[in-house]
Amino acid sequence: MNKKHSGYAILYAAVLGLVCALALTGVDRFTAERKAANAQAEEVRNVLGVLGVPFAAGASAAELLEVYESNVRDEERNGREFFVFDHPSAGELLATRFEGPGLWGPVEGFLCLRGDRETIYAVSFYRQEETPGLGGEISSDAFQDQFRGKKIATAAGAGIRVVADGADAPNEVDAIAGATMTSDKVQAMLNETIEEIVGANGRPARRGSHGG
Amino acid sequence: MRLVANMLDRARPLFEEGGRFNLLKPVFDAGDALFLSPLARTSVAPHVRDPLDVKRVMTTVIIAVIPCILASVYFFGLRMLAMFVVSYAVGLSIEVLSAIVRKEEINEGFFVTGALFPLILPPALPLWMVGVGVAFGVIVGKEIFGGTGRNVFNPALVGRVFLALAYPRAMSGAFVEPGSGPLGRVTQYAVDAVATATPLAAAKGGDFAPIPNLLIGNVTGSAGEVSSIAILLGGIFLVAVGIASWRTVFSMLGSFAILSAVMHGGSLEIVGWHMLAGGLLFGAFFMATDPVTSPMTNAGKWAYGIIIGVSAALIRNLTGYVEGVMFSILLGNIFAPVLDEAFIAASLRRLREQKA
Amino acid sequence: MADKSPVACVTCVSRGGVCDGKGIQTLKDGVWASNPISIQILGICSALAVTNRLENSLVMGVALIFVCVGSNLFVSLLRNVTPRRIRMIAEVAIIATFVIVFDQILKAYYWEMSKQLGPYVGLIITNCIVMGRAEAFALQNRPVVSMVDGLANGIGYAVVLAIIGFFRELAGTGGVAGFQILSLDWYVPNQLAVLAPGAFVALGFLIALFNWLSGANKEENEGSTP
Repeated sequence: MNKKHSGYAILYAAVLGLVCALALTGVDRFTAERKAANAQAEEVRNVLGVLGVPFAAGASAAELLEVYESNVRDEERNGREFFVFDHPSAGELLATRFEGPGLWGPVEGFLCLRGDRETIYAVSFYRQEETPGLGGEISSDAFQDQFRGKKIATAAGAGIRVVADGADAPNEVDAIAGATMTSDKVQAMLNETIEEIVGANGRPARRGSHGG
Repeated sequence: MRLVANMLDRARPLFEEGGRFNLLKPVFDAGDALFLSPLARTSVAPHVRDPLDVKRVMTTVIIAVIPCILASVYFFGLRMLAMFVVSYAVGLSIEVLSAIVRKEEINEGFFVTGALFPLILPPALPLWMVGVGVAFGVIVGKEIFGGTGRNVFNPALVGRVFLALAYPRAMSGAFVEPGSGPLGRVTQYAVDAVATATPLAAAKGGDFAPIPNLLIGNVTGSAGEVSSIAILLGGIFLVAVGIASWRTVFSMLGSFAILSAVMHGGSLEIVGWHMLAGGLLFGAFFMATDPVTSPMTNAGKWAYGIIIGVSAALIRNLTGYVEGVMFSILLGNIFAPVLDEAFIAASLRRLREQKA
Repeated sequence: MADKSPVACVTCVSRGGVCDGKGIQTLKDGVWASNPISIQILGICSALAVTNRLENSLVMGVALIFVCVGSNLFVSLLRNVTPRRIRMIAEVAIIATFVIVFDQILKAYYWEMSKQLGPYVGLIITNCIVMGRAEAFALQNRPVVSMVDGLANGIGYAVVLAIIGFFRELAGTGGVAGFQILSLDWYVPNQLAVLAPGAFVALGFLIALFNWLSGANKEENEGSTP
C-alpha cells in the first residue's frame, strides 16, 4: 500500500493504537492488585497511626491490612464515620476524618477521641500544603502531640483553641509562631468537626449535625 | 591633604600593570577616589555640566535615610548598629572581590544598599543572617548581572526575599517590641526584647495599632519602616532634591490608596492606616525610586508605580501574606526595562508620524 | 568523529564491526556537550519540581532514561513505516505508553516515591527532551544508536537532576538521603532550597558553572551585550 495514502495512515494509527492499548492493559492488569493494596495501605496506615495501633515500621500492604482488620472496627454513629479501636491501656478510641481549607490548599487529618468523647487522644494531619517551616509544621510531631489529653469542650462551650499567647486552659494548644493564618484555619476546621460530634452526642451545639 | 596625595602617588606604581600589587588595583583606586578626585577625566564629548555624579547621589540618599537609621536605633537598640556593621562589612568585601575578579574599579554602589538593607529587616534578626542575606542580595541581585548600574532587581530587596523564604521562622520571630519611655532603647543592646506580631499581622485578626503610634514609630516592624515621620522627613527631602522621582512615589502610593479604598468600602480611616503600616512608605520613597531598577521614561515611571501600588494592595488584602510591598517592588523591577522600551518605541512612532 | 578506528563498540554490531565513533560521540553529546538541561535548557519544569530531594531526583532520572531509551528504540524501528503526516502523534503514543508503564510500576512497587513525585512522572509525556530526541534523532537513525542517544540524554538529565537534588536537600535539611551531614545544632536549614524558587537559583548557578567549565558563551557574552 502507498505510504502517502490516507488509508495507510489510518491503518498505521489503528495498529499502533491497538498495540499501545494492549501493552497498557497488560501492565494495568499486572499491577492492579498491588496498586489497590498500596492505596488501601496508605489509608490504613493513617488510621492505625492516629489510633495508636502498633504495627511494624516496614510492614507490607497486606500486613497492614491484616493489623487493621483484626483491631479496628468501622462504625457509623449518627451519620458520621468512626474508626473504633479498643486500646489496651487507653480504652475505647474513636477516630474520625476532618478536612478544611488551609492557607494554600486543602488540609486533611484525623481527630481521635477517647471513650468519654471529651478528651482528645490524638490529632494527625496527613495531607497539607502549608508553607514549609511555618504552617507546614502542623504535621510535625511537636505540634500534633500538643493535642493529646486536651478537652474538646469546657464550661464555656465546645471547641479547642489554637492560641498564640501561651496555652494554659485544658482546651488550648500553642499556635505555630509566625503561622497565625494556618493556625486559625486549623482551629476552625477542628471545631467544625468537634461541633458536629458534640452535637451528634445530644449536647447543645451551635450548628446542626449533618444527616444525623 | 598633600601628605595623603604624596603617599598615594608614591604607591601608585605598585598597583599599575606589572606592579607587585596589580591584583589589588581596585582597592587602591577606591582609596584614591575616597580622598582625592580621581586622575581619570572624560576627554571626549559630550560632557554633562552637572555636579551630580553617582557618588553625590549616593551621599544624598544616605543623608535622607539618616532619620530612619536614628529611629531604628532609638526604638530597637544599639544592636542595630551591629547590623549595619555586618551589612557593610560583608557587602563591601563582596564588592571588592568581584571588582578584583572583573578587573574593574570598585563601585560606590554598595553604600546605599548597605544602609538600606538592615532597615528592611526584623530588628532582632541573628547577625549571621544579616550577613548571608546581604551576600545573596549583592551576588545574585547585582554582581551576576554585571555590578552596579546593570542590575535588574533591587539588591537589598533580593536579600530580604531570600531571608524571608529561606528562614521564615527566624524572620517572623525576629519582630520585637520597640522600646518604650523617653529614651527608647538607645541605652540598651536589646537582645532580650519580646517577639510580637507586626501591626499588619495583628490587623488580620482585627487588631489595629493606633495611627499615632504608626506615625511616631513605637510599633513593631522592620527596623527602619516603623516610623512614618522619619520616612517622610527623608523621603520628601529626596523627592525635593530630585533624586527620588515624584512620579514613581505618587503613582505607587496613589494607586495603592485608591485600590485599598475600593477594597475596604471607601473607609478613609482604614486606607490611611494601611498607608502608614508596614513597608509601604519606606518602599515607595527609598526602594521603588532606585534609579537603576526603575524606568527612565516619565510615562514608564507612572506605569511602574501603578504596577507596584496595585499589586501591593492586592497581595496585602487578598493573600496569605500580610505584607506585599517587597514582592510588588521586585515585580515592578521586572517590568521596568520593558516599560521603558514600550514607551520609547511609542514616542518614536509618534515623532515619525508627525514628520510624515 | 570521522576517524575510523577498528575498535569494537556498542553501535558497531550493525555496521559490520567498523567503528565510526558515532556511539561514543552520541553518548558524549547527550551527557555533556549538548546536555539537555544545562545546555539546551529543556525539561526544566520537572527539573525544578522534583529536585527537592536526591532520592526523588534519582527516580525521576531513571524514569526519563527508561522512557527515552524505549521511545527512541521504537520510533527508530518504525521510522521507515511511519507515515510522515502522523509521525508526531505516533511518537506521542509510543512515549505515553512507556511513561504510563513506568508510572504504573512505580505505583505498584514504590508507592511512597510515586506519591512524592505526584503528577511529574506522568508529565514526562510532555517533556521536551523525550519528544525532541525522537524527532531530532530516532527518526533519522538506526535503532541501536538511537537507544544510545536516548540513554545519553537520559543520563545527562539524570546527572543534572541528581546534582541539583543533592545540593537542595543538603541545604534544605542539612542531610542527604537520610544521612545528617550538617549538624542541626549549628546549621539552620534553608527553606528556600526546598521551595521551587530555590530550584531556579540552584539551576542558575549550575548552568553558570557548566558554562564556565566548558568555556561556552564566552565570546558571545563579551561581544554582543551592550
